[in-house]
Amino acid sequence: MRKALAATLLLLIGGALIRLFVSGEYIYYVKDTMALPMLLAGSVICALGFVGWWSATSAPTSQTRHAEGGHLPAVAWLLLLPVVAIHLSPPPALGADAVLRESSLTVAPAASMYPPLPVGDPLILTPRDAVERVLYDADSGILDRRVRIDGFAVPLEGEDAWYVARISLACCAADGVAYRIRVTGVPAPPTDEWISVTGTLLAPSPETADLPIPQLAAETVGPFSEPGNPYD
Amino acid sequence: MSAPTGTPAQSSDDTPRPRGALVRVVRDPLFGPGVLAVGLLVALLARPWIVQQFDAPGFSTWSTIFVAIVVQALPFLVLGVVLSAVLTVYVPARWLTRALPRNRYAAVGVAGLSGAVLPGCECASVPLAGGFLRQGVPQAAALAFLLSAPAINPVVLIATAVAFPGNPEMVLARFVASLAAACTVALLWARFFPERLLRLPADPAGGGSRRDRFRATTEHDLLHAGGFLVVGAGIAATVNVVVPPGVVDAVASQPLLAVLVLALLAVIIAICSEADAFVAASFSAFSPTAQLAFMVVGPMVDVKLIAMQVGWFGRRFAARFAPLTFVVAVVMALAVGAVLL
Repeated sequence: MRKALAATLLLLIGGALIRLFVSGEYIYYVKDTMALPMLLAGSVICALGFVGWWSATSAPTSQTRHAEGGHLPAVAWLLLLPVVAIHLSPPPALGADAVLRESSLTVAPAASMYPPLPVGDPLILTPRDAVERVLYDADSGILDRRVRIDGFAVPLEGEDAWYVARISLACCAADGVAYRIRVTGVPAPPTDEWISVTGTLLAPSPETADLPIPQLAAETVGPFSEPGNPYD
Repeated sequence: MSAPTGTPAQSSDDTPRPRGALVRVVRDPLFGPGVLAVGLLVALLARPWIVQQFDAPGFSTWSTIFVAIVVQALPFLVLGVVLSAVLTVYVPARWLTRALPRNRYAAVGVAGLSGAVLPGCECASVPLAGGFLRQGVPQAAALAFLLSAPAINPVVLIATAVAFPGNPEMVLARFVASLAAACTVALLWARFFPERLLRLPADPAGGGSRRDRFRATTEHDLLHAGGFLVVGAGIAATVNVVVPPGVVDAVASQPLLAVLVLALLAVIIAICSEADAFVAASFSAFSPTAQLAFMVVGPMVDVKLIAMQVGWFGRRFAARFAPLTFVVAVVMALAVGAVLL
């Protein structure tokens, strides 16, 4: 009985990892480089579960192994929490709520030199590009160009302005960093809606000196289909 | 922070069984887990209701981060558990002990340096260190490995180099400070704390064929360490969601306080050692020494690790080992930072 329960638990855990791999939903939680290790780990756990089932049912009685019978640690049952959550309804990717919980952004530039701005009107940027160019590469002429930024909407309570944002992961969703631009001039779309907003970038306003968030004087805002990987 | 929950580290039911029917049900090893499982299922089925009761978007952010930490850590945990079971079952006892130098200092140094070989994060090193201990490796050496492996392996060092472009001193500083802290903690522990504080979980596989023992060991270790990983992930996700934005940035300009705050932050947010360099780099308002402290402390002491150490080595061990490690890691980061950064 105990062995069968342990085996079931293992199958649930391994199954959860494999399920995330097959459905592609793992992308909400980890980088795509983790996909293969995750599948491998899921398979190993499932294999252990199958062998466990087999040995639980094929052992004549559990009498001979009773000594190891009491060893399923109670804390193991906590594994049900994330596992059942994954099987029943996987939590969504981080969105507006996570952006608002992030501390102010002071990310060092990823590269010390940026390539010249590409051609195109409007210039299409991710929120991350826009933030980095405005804060660390303002001489590139980014502030004179018409730009289009794609991301999800983060309405701000009690304000006309809103953020267009995207979250970037280093490793998993626990270390997500939000890149956001404060948008004015067009009404805020619903929370977490993916949009594409066009306008002119401005340096962070002095009022928000401790929050170096670039601004966008927007002209138009339109729908944008959610990218396969919601993170940047 | 030392004993994150009231979960018993080990439920020993070797006491003689009473005979009454009700008592037998309650004493049954399945009773507690059964109650827990039913409770969890009810909680999950009632999730829509729970979500309504609490701040819904916050709850959703919490569960995403919670699941993410578990999903990110499980592959490394499996790697560590399987390697540890191979050690326990297939490597002849005392073989590792004989491979280590006899001299204690040399043994600790070798064990600390060999941490560089394990490519992974801290979730793999706890079970592996447990495997070493089952093999009879001296405590000091196993602990040096436990602390150094997640911090100085090539994957982590490369990630650090990428996160701090044009700043190779940071990589060197991280390597030196982490290795020095790991060896110092191990030696201090061996010198000042009695060995019996560390209580290994019994090798679950008593007899049987090697294959049986391998299966039983991996199953037990995976479920045991996995359960504690979930406890740690829950705490870390809660801190992630609850700590108000900007709190940390406020102290960036005060040199010593900044180091301490980033070191404490490393403990409570418990990010994977492969990712912590990117997070450290994002604290650009802080001094390089504070960033270094974040990267030295994080792989050695964090809530997730403490929970797993409670599970593997006992609560009494973790309650002393974690604070000791924290202090030594911060001191090493300060010293190395002063010289190199």
